[in-house]
Amino acid sequence: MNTPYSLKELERRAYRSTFEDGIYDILFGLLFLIFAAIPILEAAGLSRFIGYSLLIIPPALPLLGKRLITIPRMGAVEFGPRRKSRRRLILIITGIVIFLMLPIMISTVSNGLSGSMGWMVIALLALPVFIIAVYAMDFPRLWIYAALLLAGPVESEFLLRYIGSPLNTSISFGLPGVVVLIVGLSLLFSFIQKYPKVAPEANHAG
Amino acid sequence: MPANNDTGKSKLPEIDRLIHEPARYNIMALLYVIEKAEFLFVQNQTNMTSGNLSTHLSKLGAAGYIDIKKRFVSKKPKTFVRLNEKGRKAFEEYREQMKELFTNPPAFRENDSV
Repeated sequence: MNTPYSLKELERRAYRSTFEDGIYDILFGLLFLIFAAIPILEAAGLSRFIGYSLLIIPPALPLLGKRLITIPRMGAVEFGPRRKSRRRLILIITGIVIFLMLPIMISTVSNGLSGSMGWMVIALLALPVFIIAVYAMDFPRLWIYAALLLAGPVESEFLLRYIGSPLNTSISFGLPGVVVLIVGLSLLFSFIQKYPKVAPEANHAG
Repeated sequence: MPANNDTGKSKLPEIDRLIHEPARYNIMALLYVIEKAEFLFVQNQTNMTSGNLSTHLSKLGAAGYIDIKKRFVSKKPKTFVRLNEKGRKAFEEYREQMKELFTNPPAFRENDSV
């Protein structure tokens, strides 16, 4: 048994172990891939809003994944008031940001702000939520995903000259999306191997 | 001066032997930093077998340090454990005593050298 001496470190280790399942990585990977797919769907003649409506699917993933995969294998845990208040903070701020930014986002999309400028606006709107999420969730990998999100429109603008639209946007969001998804899936695979599903009676003190 | 002579022994703080056992210390430390957890989570975090964990939890429960609640979730039995106020206080006292013991060992206390 390897117990860290500091209780703070022990708490952090226990808390971060709940991210071992890679579910949030898969969520962000899918979000990137949806961002990559929207311009292609649009080019195929589908409404932009159909593409955006796909964005409501990934957030359901943690709810289902934690319930069906993580908790039966790892066990449920409730952290202390500090973590709870941080979680509340992220929910409140995300809600406020979405409420304030949604009209801007919709008008950006419906006014057809062309090319990567539209994406730049969307990425900049999503960035504060990411930063708050990194702080509140204490989930360091999210910094990398936030950087990738911000880099997406810049890459898109750069690629526009060489491969044109909509492939520029699809590649600049799709490639990081695939990488993040692969990270998430490999974490999930390791998690499933590390924590096999236990018989109900084993999760029970006799 | 050896700690087990009469003078040294009398100066040793009363260490809670129940928490002093490493496996139970690990359980108490984990439960101290979280609010509550399922049996399986504690087992995974402490790397114990379910039988071993069950035995230690029973002892901590009998001492009144932890609350053990068994309930059915989706028709499956689940055990939830949490450190109660008495347990928290005992754990904090234990850590204080150990800190004191390490920073000021009985053999080196001024009173002991007399």
